[in-house]
Amino acid sequence: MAETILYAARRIITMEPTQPYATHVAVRDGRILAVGGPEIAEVWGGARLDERFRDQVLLPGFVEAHSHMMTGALWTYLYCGNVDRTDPDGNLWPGVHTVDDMIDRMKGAIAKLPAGQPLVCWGFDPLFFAGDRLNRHHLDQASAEVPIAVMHQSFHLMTVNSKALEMAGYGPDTNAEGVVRLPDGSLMGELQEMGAMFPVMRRLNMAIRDISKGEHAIVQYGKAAVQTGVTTATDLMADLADDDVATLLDVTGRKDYPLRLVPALGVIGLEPKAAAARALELRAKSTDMLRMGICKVMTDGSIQGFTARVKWPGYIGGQPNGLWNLEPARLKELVKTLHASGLNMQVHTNGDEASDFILDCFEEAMWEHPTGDSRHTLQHCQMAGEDQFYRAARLGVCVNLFANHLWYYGDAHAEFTVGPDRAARMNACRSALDNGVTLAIHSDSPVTPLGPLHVAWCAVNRITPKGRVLGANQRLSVMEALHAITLGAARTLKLDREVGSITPGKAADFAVLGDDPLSLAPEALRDIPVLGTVQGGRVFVK
Amino acid sequence: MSPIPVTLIAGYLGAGKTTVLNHLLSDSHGLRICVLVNDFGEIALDADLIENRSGDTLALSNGCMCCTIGDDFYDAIDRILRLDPRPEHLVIETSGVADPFKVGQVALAEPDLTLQGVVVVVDAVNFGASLADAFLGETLRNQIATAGLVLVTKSDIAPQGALKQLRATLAELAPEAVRLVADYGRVPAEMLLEPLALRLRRDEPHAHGHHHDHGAEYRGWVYSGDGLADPAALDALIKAPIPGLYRLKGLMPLTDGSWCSFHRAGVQSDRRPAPPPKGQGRAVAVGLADRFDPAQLQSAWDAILRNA
Ligand SMILES: [Zn+2]
Ligand SMILES: [Zn+2]
Ligand SMILES: [Zn+2]
Repeated sequence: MAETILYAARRIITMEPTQPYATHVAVRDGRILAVGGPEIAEVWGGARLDERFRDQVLLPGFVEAHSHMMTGALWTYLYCGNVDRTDPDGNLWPGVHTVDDMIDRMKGAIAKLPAGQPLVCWGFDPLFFAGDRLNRHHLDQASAEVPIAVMHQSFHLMTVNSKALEMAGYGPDTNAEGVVRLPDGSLMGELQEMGAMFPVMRRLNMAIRDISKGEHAIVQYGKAAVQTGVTTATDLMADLADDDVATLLDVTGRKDYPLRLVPALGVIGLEPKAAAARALELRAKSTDMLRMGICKVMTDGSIQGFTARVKWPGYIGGQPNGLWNLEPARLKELVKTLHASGLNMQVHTNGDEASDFILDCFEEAMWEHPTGDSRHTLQHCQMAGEDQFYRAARLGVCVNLFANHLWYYGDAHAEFTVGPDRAARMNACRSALDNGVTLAIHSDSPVTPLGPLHVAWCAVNRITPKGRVLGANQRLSVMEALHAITLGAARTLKLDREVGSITPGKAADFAVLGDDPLSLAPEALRDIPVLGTVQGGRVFVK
Repeated sequence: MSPIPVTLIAGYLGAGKTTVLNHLLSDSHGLRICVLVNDFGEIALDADLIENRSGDTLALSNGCMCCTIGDDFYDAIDRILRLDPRPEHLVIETSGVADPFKVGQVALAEPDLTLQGVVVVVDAVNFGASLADAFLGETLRNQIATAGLVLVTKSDIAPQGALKQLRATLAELAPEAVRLVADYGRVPAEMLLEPLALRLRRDEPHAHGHHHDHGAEYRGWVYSGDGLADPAALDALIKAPIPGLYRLKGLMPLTDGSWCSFHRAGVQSDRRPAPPPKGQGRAVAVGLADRFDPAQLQSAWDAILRNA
């Protein structure tokens, strides 16, 4: 018989109402055998006591129900963000706060670059960077010969040096909209949106899609998960071609791979019936560590990019309403076809017109094909009002709200996009719970950094860098927020039967924390150290 | 390497974009065109035309190809730019809700591409209702506003009132755009591939403090076949008064076995020797919709042909 290990901890927060707290958890065969006090394994014939977590707090392993695979392999590029971050291999990267810091870091990296290679940087966020807006003259100080591209945190913009502009053939005659100019009319080096970034990306061989797949990407994603307490994570939009799936099966099947992966098939480019057939085929190939079959549907764009579909009164600057990803009639057909096939959909909706429309689609689909517990999920769903949460609850639709946005873009939303009143009800976690909607919250990493405790911190505090509290009445308690990054998130993926809480029978997936979130001030939630994870009974703690 | 000219074909679902593309790909214009579409199932190409199918690409027997966009538009563009040989023209079918201005940015930015024009297909029967749709109206208005050429389909079955309303709407939304009646997607390939929209303008763009309709409605005519043209008869035809004819051009084999290219724009006309092309002889004409009668030109044309 497999060995039984009894872990003792300072505290175990289970997310189970019967027994919310415990001090001991017994693990056998990668699963939770028993939860309670020091004697809990006795009825099972005893266990080997392991006290390594004696001073730590165990939570159910975090479930990141909206993040992307490229999170890990992005670190192939040079990190130039303002916050201190640790890469998947455990190296600490202090934030860069000034142009000089950034130039120093770039010079160091360029010295180690193989000849002929460009320097690609990521993580730069102009919103959190003091001084003049970054331009090519700044980057030219790092190198005039090596092409440099700095991707902004939003991934919608980049700033490049003069060499990269020259390689892309940009000059005085360029008249594409996204190629920004300085007040004197010369090229600034900032490129906005893919149309303008594409010529540089091609010539610098920046294959963003390549860092979203392949062995290295999968391995690094697993490491990034361990560091943030995540034991189950999505890759919420994947091609999942046959060779990708073979690699995923191989890597996730290794005995030291620490993450249960849930890739969602991107279905927007596919014909509805073909999409459904492919998703069903993938679902049948799932393993314990690789869960396929869910589908990712896109509807609109982003609020800060003014491409989200918003209801009246629209954007405060009078910008035209945003863009649908697909004709609404086609979207509806796609949703109905996938629903009728019994597939679960995770639907990107940022603006409230988009979430309204998708609720219409779900309702119609459910009338035509009552399938019971379909648990489709509105992803982001940032602007939904009471009416939409009420309706989602009635339809059995879950929401996964983008709580991190409150911190990263909250000031921008209040000042430039939708105004303070609607910004205050963005990512309305309280409304979701009060209306009885299953709630998850997410980072959309790498759009904002992976780290469920930070996401929970946002949902609890709702503060912005400028000190605003966006919608005090929408704040969650710490316990509710922890639920949303564990059991709530597991429910949106239909994995709550197996993960999301610490109870007998579920996978022995734990987040190992250095402190107790319930005994600290709510403001301290994001600062709690994460020491690692236990995943399927395997310990991943340094 | 010279940049690949790009034509965008926009328009809402059901407007007839795929019929237009089907005509374009089936046509014997002799150009290696690459058409980038959302789904090639919808174009319903004749099986005889398809030479080879591999994954996201259909190779056609006339040298053209058809690629699907898949889940990443820019990836698809990158694939096309890597083709060897490169296509001579790229035609992109945008989604019914796309903003052609945004999609077109890549062709303005990328030095290996050049934006030739934006064609918006409008369905005379349903356009009014689509414009009134709260989810679509703004997007469709925006599409029309970026058009250099508007193709009007289903005009033959649209009620008179709807057509009249459509004309007024188009004149208001895109006063500079040329309008071409293209029922059943029948439109000369040249109209889509050349910057004809500019050439067809009746006057040069000028300062706009006022509102009026610069666009006009045109009708197209196209010929392709094996017939040989009698040189004297062809000369007479390209000089003959043809009511409403705006432009006529072509590349034809003559009865003496040589080839010639010819064109007529307004009252100017010209014919000169040309190297034989890859495809058949062809000719295309465009004229004002209210005066130009394609059937009349067709019979005049038939009269100059001798059998090969
Ligand atoms: Zn999204
Ligand atoms: Zn995402
Ligand atoms: Zn004018």
